[in-house]
Amino acid sequence: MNYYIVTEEVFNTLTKENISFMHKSIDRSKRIIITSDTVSTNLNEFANPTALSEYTFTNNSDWVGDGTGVTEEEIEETIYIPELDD
Amino acid sequence: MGTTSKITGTLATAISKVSGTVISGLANIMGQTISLFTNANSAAKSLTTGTAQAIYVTDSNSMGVEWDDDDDFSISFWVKPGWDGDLNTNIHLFSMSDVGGAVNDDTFRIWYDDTNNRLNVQWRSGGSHRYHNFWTFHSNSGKYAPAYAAAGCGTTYWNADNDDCATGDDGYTLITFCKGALNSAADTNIDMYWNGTTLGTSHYTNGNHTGTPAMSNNDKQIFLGSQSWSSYAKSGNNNETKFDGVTMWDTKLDATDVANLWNGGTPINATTHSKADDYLKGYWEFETDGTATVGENMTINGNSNIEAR
Repeated sequence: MNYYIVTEEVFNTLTKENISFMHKSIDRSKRIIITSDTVSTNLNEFANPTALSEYTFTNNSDWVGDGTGVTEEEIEETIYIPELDD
Repeated sequence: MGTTSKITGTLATAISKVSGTVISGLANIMGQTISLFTNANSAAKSLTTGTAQAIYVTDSNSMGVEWDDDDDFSISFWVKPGWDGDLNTNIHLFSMSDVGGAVNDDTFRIWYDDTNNRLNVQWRSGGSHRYHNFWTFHSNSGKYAPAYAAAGCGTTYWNADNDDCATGDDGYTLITFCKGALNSAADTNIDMYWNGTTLGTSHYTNGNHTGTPAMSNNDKQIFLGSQSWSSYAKSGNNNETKFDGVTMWDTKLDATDVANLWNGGTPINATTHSKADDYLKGYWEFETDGTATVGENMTINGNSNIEAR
């Protein structure tokens, strides 16, 4: 799997069925994604869920509103469902 | 009129029931609220993390809630959300783990995913041994429609600005989770209720699982409004979230049981519930402090406190 941050515009071009996790930034301009596709037009790329989680804790003001971050458990368990993405 | 000492020949001080109902369970007579018995207060969870700001039972001390993966049980609580729509993460409503344990030490938890508008439940005994399922509220289609209707939030999400989703609940919602005696998060084994109404079919028909949880019956630490491990975080943001009338039952309550507990939105004295004598193992009313009506007392620390309901 591949771990990225992409813009909203790039996200909209991706194949949703290949995305297993998605988390919007608070301002809704960016998305953290895990996908089986390779996305070259990314803002950030991470080696694994641990690195991705650590990034969100360091930059939490962009991603969560409680001063924490996106935990590895949340990444594992929050399945992306395209029909519920609004 | 002078002081009444007897009613139909019985000393007034000896009367404990009216028409078969325990007096402390009466919320009103002939439509008039009895202030003495009104549920006036609740426990407000501070947003700050750590046990110093938490609401928790330190040690269940074999009070009867040391459930493992193949026990049937139910957990119910009134909650008034304090988080706002910009939280963009999880809020733990109820969580319990082994005393002094970490996330994988026989954890059971109920949390709301503010990012995706989902109410989740999970139990786990390891990172690779966990069961999980959820219900979502904002989609009025297919299997999601019952939860959409029950919560009444429409397409907006559940938060402090949208706490009165269901009509007439004054911001408080009774959340009740009921598990059967299978080690399975399949829809046939678990039920979730919003007030007195089922949320319908869970997202994963057969449950979402990794490995197979093998939980112990160790004594538990029980937390309201935060994780029961690590930093006791994931508590919300902005306003405090309030909890009231928390009950733990050693059986899978059915729809009628939950409807009776809901009581049209007026909290009952849970000790008067028809299943209480046999199955009520934990009950906290939060009228003056964390003293348990049934079970072990809750500690309410720091800025977490008792406030008007």
